[in-house]
Amino acid sequence: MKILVIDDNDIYRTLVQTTLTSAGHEVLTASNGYEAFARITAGDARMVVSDWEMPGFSGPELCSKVRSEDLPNYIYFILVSGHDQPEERVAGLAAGADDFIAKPFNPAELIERVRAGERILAMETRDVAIFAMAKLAESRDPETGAHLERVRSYCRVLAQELSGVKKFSDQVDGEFIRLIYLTSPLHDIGKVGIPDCVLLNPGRLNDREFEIMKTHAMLGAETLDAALRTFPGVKFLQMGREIAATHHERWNGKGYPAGLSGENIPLCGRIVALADVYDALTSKRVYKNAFSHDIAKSTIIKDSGEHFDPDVVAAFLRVENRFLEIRDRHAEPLAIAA
Amino acid sequence: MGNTALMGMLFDKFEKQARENMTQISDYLTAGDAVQTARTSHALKGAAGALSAWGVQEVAARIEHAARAGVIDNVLTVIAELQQEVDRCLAYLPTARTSFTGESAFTTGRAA
Repeated sequence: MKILVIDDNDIYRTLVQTTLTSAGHEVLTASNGYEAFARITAGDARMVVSDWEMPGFSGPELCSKVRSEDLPNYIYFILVSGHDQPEERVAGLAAGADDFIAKPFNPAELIERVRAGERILAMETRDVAIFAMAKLAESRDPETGAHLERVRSYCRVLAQELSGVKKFSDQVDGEFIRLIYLTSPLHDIGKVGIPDCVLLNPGRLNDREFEIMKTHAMLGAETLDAALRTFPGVKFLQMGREIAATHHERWNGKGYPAGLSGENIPLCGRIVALADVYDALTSKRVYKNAFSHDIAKSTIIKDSGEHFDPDVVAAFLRVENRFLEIRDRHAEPLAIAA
Repeated sequence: MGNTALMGMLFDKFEKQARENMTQISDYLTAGDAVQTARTSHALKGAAGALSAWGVQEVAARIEHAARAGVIDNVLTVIAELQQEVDRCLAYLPTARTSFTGESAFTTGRAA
């Protein structure tokens, strides 16, 4: 991972560069904010160690500009400064800085702060790995297209809406929203264990085949259970497991695999259930055409309190325009949708 | 690059920068340019701090502070003090070069 060191002071820039290089990092340098901004937006570095006061942009100004860009990766931003007043640190944090180090810096401290940043960036890499794992499972099912992208976006919209509902405000916070976006693509990961003759069957499944298909919920949960035994406290694994296990449960207790009902079904499973069904209804399959939003909506309303949690349905109705936006943004290519 | 070579290079950079900044600060003060005085003092303060030249750092910080407050008239009296500290520091550099042991200085992130 490349680190961009920015300092107009040649001596400091050399010291920081040498310290990081000696710790095994690949280091790029820039002597002002303009040059640094160009390198960051070109994707040259994932981490920045920037001086505070520079000609052109100051360190916090550079950080603000980076944060306002729609970059494909998160840039971890460390500000190096002689400014140690609390209000200046607040200004740095408000600009989006992740960490600070004081001048004159201690090399061992700088190396450890960079290492802490690498751990944060590794979490983003983990997020990508989770999605890649889900895509891999999905890749055996050629019909699903951008299903995962749409479902995770529907789930996020529903969770955001529910966070404003008093009944759910304790449970649905920023972390819940982030986690459901991250882990909802894992809902069908158990399909890796379904035989091709069932999974790739282009027509409607007979009863026996459908029983086999239904095992994907527990197969997914068991897969994530194995990871949870090694990392029991990891929240994304916990939510991923709950979603895989419960996204086919129904509010009225007539779903599978456990026949859970009402609030015994974890909220994340209730949210994914609606998002998954909405996407299935509005997508084309070999055995059916894509239904319109209005038909999908009336189906979901009809199933409120039967298949779906009425509160999740109510949230869906309040944000249906955002569902339409997501569906349009991730529309299937015409060749598939026609 | 070994630590001794690195510190030798940093001493060279500091010597050049300190002489340049000293001249610039005098010129900016004479011209009444508080903004550039503050900016250049800040640069010299940073370079001095990197190499533990505390005397230069302290006087440069005072000039920067005064220039930022826009009271550069008073700074004229401090410029002689800065010159004195820069001279003292640069006079010490040959000794620092010969006595410097790369390992100990670099591992503390400071030298001289």
